[in-house]
Amino acid sequence: MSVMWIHQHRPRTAWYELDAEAQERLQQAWQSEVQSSLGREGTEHLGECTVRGVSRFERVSVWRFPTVAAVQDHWERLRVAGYDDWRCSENLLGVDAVPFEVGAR
Amino acid sequence: MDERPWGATFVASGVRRGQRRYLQGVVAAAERLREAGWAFDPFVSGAITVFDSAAWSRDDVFGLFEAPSSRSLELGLEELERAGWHALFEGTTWSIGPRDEPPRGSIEQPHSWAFLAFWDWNDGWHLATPDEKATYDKECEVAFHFDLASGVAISGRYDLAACGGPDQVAMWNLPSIETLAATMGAHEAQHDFKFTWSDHLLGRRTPLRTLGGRA
Repeated sequence: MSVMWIHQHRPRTAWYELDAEAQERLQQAWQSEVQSSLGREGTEHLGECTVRGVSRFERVSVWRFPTVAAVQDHWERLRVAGYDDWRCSENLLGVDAVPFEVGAR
Repeated sequence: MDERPWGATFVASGVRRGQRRYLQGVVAAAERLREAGWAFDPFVSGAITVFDSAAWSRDDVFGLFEAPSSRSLELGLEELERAGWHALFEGTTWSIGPRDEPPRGSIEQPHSWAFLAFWDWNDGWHLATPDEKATYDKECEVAFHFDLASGVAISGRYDLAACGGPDQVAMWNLPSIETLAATMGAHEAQHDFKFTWSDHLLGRRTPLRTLGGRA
């Protein structure tokens, strides 16, 4: 079993006021956590795209993680690195469909 | 591996009433999960409870369950699905995450009313200094003391954002609508909502096994 993580995000208001150096420092800290996650078994970054023209978010990033605990761990490390303070996000968990049979117990 | 208790809150837009075979399957699965350490009612040990909001909300029913670990939650949600959850509950949204604060308040008898509170910390909170956040927390505590003194019990708080929910959720057990009005007034007066976007759902306690009824 693995889960897909669909991460939609946009900068918070205050991000736009930060100078380039401060933005760069933050992005490097987040990138370090991303690299740390990618080094773990069962974790893949599947793709990234812009959705600014079609939604209220700027970008979507799609991942595969081995468990929801791994999703939570990835998120908590990013959050400690300030990610949630500078980006507003909404996430979706994708799981394998489970068959339901009428009458099954 | 995440060994903290993990919560799962669900909100369903509709209930397919009168479908006893689906209901029985889901109740049986819940009873098995209860044996495995799940709690299906934040306020009554051993009860399997949902909260009915159909009469005044576009959502029919909600609940807050807790599993002993993230792995148990993952497996248990799959079991509930396999047992027919989505045949019984239309348009379910699950929001899951670890418990990050324990329950508060104890009451002798469970109340019929419950309110599910979802909230997101807003940009102002994210920009606030640690001192500003500490001051805000202290002001909110005044309101929480009033809540507990008014006979409210509060479930654990859960951290939902990573797995798709808003930032936090908690459920309150309330003696009456008047208590809800008074406690919300207290939180408003203490500027609780300055730093959050909040959404609330009110429901009446309903044992899951009685949910069927006539279609």
